[in-house]
Amino acid sequence: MVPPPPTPEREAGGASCDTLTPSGIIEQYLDRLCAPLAGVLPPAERCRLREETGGHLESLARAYTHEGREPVEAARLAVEKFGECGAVGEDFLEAWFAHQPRGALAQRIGLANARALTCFGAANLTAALLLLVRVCWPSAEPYTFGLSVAQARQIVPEPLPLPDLSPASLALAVVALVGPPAAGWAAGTWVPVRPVRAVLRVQVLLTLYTFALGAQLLPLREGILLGVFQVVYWLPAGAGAAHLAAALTRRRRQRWHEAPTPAESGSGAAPAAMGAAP
Amino acid sequence: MAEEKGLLRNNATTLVLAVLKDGARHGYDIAREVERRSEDTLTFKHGTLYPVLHSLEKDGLIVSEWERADGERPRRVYRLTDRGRAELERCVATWRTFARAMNRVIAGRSSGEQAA
Repeated sequence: MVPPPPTPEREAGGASCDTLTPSGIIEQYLDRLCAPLAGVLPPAERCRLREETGGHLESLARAYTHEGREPVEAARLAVEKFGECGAVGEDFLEAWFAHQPRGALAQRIGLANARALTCFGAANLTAALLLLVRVCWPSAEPYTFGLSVAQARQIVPEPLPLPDLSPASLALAVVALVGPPAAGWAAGTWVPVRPVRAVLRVQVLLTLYTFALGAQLLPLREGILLGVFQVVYWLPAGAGAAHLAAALTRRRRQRWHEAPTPAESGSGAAPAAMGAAP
Repeated sequence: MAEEKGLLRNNATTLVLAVLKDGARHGYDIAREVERRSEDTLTFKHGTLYPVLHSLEKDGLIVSEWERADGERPRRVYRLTDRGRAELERCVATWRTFARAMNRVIAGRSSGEQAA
């Protein structure tokens, strides 16, 4: 048997008496399992998961006690055998999310990918349209940094637009710089399970698409630079924003929702004594 | 090992359906039965079972209901549906075909050579 893990310290600071009892150890595990799922899983699903997990842990603890372990050690071994609560919760959430009602696109590529595609597709499309507007309708008064237009074109070759202070140029700059974090933040908030993975999948494909499109419309070097910009900035900025948004959303959900009470009747029954035979 | 965990994960549906074929069980029973039948070769974190059960129930392969026992938490008991039995037969047939093919490759002989 693998030695039991050390008792985790309570967030309030220091272990309390509750975590030193078998039922306290199990209840603490259940709290940590269910709290991150609040606000995502419906209350009935969370209650069911909590009850089933609690029953399973009690059965495991009874089995270990039957083998001769002390009740507290048996509870800790049961929790360890069940698995790390974060991973268990995330796996359950992924399974639940995969079965949510979804449209044709989501059925084809998955709900998480469809939501991430919506966020980053909108950002990419907006940037592409603004670039097209600037290419097709260049400003008559570009800002050339004190250089002549010919010298400026050595730095920004055609058909890319020279910088200016027109609304379209400013909008393009804002979308190019702010778009990835904004889309990532939206994806991280909207996709409840593994949003960073969905963002990476979607943005890699969009980057390849942008590169292919850029290679058709732009000179090769500029097309490559456009793709490199997406890889070097859009991808990490989007994924980072998604990760941060998901973490903050999870923390906010935990603060706003209390741990669920068992919804199904009969849940008020006291757990069986740990020394009982399985 | 990572390879064994991958094999276990990919065949979780077959394992759960096979255990439920013999009668209704709750989650703990299912996990222990898999370990018992495999003589502790197939061991896993029991928490990984519940996403599988959730998926199978949503797909209509199993159904569940609460079962109450005195002095204990209520247990969710799962049983196979007709669709689940059909899916189990399909999974078992697929597994047997795959296992035969693997054994042939490992043995280094085709069925024709074996017959000869």
